[in-house]
Amino acid sequence: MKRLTCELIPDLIVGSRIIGGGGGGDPYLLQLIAQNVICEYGPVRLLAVDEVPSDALVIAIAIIGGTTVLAEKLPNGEEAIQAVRSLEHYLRRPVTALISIEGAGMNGILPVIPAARLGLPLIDGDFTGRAIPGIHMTLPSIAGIRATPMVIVDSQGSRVILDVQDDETAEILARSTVVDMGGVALIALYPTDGVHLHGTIVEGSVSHMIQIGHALNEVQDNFHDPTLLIRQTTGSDELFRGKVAEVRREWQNSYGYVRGDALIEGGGLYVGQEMSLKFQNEYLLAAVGRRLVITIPDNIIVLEARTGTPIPPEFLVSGMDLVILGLPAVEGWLTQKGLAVIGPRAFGYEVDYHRLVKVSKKSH
Amino acid sequence: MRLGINIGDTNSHAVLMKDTAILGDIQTTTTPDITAGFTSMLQTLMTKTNVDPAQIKAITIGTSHFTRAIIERQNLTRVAVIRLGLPATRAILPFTDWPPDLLEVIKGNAYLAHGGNEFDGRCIARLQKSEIQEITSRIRDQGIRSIAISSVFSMVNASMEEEAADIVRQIIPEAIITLSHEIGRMGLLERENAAIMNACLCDLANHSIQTIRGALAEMQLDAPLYLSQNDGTSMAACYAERYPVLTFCSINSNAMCGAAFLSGAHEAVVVDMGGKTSKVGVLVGGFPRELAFAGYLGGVRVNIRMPDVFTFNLGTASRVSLDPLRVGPECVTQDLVSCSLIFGGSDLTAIDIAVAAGIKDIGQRSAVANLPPRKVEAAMREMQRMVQQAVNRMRIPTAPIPVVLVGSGSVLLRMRLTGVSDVIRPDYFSVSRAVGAAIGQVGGEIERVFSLTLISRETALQQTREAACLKASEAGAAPGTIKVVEVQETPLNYLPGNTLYVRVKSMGDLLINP
Repeated sequence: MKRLTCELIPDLIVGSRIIGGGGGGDPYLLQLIAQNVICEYGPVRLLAVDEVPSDALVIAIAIIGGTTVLAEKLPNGEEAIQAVRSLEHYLRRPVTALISIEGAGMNGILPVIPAARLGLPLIDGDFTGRAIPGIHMTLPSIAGIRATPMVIVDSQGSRVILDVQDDETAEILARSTVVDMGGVALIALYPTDGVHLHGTIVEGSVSHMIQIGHALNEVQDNFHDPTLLIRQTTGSDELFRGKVAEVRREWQNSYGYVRGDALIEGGGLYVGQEMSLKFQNEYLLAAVGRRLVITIPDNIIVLEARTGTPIPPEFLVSGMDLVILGLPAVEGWLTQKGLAVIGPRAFGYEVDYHRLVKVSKKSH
Repeated sequence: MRLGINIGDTNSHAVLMKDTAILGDIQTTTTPDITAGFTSMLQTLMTKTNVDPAQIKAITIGTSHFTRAIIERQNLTRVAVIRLGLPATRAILPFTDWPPDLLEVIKGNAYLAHGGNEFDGRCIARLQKSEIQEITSRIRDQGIRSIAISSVFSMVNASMEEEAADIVRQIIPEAIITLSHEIGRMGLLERENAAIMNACLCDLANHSIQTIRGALAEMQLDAPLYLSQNDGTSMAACYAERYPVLTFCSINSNAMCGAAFLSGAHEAVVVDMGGKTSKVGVLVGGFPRELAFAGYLGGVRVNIRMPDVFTFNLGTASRVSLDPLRVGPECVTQDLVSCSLIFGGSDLTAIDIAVAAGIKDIGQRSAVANLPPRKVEAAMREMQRMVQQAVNRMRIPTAPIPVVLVGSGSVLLRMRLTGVSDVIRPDYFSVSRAVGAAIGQVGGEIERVFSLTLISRETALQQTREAACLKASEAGAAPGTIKVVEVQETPLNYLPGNTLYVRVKSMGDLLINP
């Protein structure tokens, strides 16, 4: 059995940010909390899906709401514990393991904190393999595991329990509750067992994120191109390089999220080409010229060219130099059911998913 | 006429400018007590240019004095922190992730109290007067009078920070208080860190600026005094006394703004080479490109605006070994003049190499005449390589832009770099930092968050624009000259509905003596 120690947290953080590709929030604050908690309560056991007993009660723990809000309204530290206890109380059973709903950004690291506090194992896997904007957009959900009953807890100590008919309704009710709670909250959801986890989730993703982070943290002297190393360790393809020429944003989709696009002028081997990058909370589509080169659920990783830092859509400003990588989605998403939930049409774009296309470069 | 002064870690410079013309310049070694070297430098400059002090209408000083105090952990004041945010925010306490040696010098007690706002302006909890009073009494009993106050979403509503400050002042009338909303950006911990840093510099700022004022007064230089800010703009000295943290990195920004002015290049890579280190930054529209994220200062994570600068160890005082070949990273320990071969010392330094290679003619050339030419050439190539590597790191291979070389250390280079459109070393390159100080306009910047369910976007933008102009005016800009120069608006992510984050930058002319 693997153990998640204090020393591995910085690696997990970096890996989680990279897989987030700019989505899912900056996990720096959670790193501070996670290191504190592990120092005090000891390492977290990492459980492979095969090791989860069939009668286990597994629940996912996540942050929901504005990640920039969280950086301002810091947690009180008890929210996740209260969420787990409330869901146990509602289900009248003790929880036996925790899992990450989203192996990316803040939520890639968050469950480590209650796992350490409560002495519960963390499952080496997650529900999405990428950053997602809604709690219904998960692999277990399309496999028929319900998101509710779920508990929403805020930093003032309010608790709301949702037990609703379908996961999209759960998302709608949860989102408006979170706004009323001040824009950010903690949730415990997707109560399930070892049997149902098998074959539905992304397995080994916590270990994978640690590996990616470790490779990057090893190379402190990043005089060479850090984006190259990220490409190699994640197994992604370089899609484009260039400078942000223009960013447009408008409020326009059914959830009231911002929808925007950035125009990127090609540089280096991409001189003379232009990428249009469409985003909501995450990057969703990219086209070079009129040709679509990548769509969600494939992962669009947007990095600052010089440092390799993932750039969230809300930080995009003109003049920024970017490298855009494409990482193919986990197989589970590429079914008809999966694409209906998380394909481009689910976000209001009139195009279908297709596998990522390599952009032609100028030869030297 | 304007006087621009740079007080760096090792060297100080000054320039006298009339409109866009440079009337005179001077450089000297920075003295530990600031004013000694400073006074004689200005006196020499005034004599050299034969200018009457009364003709000088504004003085701007760029200094690394406060940055250095933080880095060296010296002359700092102990700070107590009051954070308004309970019942939230308890998971990460003030002073988290600070370097232990800095904490030892500045850490007073940190208190959490009820208060703070939600993103949409609602209260997280009401401010409790008795709670703040009790905290303040404890701070008073510890003998601390420098206090940083932070509050959740104080850029949405600053009133709780202000109310708390009023309560503190009733109990500690001599308290020097830094409110987080006046300094930092969104992100409570980083903004609070910046407020703590500002608070720990308050005594030093007060003392240093008073000393400078005294020295200037003795020379009958009674023009309005400004200090350079970290984005290359200026602020009135009385404003800088309250916000010394805003001077961080101002020297780097001044070097870049000076380089833009001297070369006429507004999109360029600037290499500013000094005695011990060199810095590379990028000009965008004539101003330094800012760091896109929270940066670290003295080991502390802060989110004040900072120029995106890469520093490497190469300067005229870098030690050189020819066999095996090594340039730096360490420098001669004492001043260059007493150590390097060309000035009669016994240490081989970078400047000796430049003289031996024949690209610079100072000191005694005969002292380096015996160095083997091939090894000298190899050392020259190594210095060239270090600069090229740093330029490559900062430059992004999108479109080739020129490199502007400034600073007295730039004489170490041959004017050859690859992957750039041009290499420019403008006239007055060695006093670029002082030029940058002299030409800076007064700047103000404001950051706000609005819930657009309560207010229209137009009103939100208008309010922020007005606040930014007011800030420039507080920082010493002449009324009637203030203009908004940059507006950035971004919706907050993962929040449905219209939540808008706005940042506005304004600039105005310096108040000039009639």
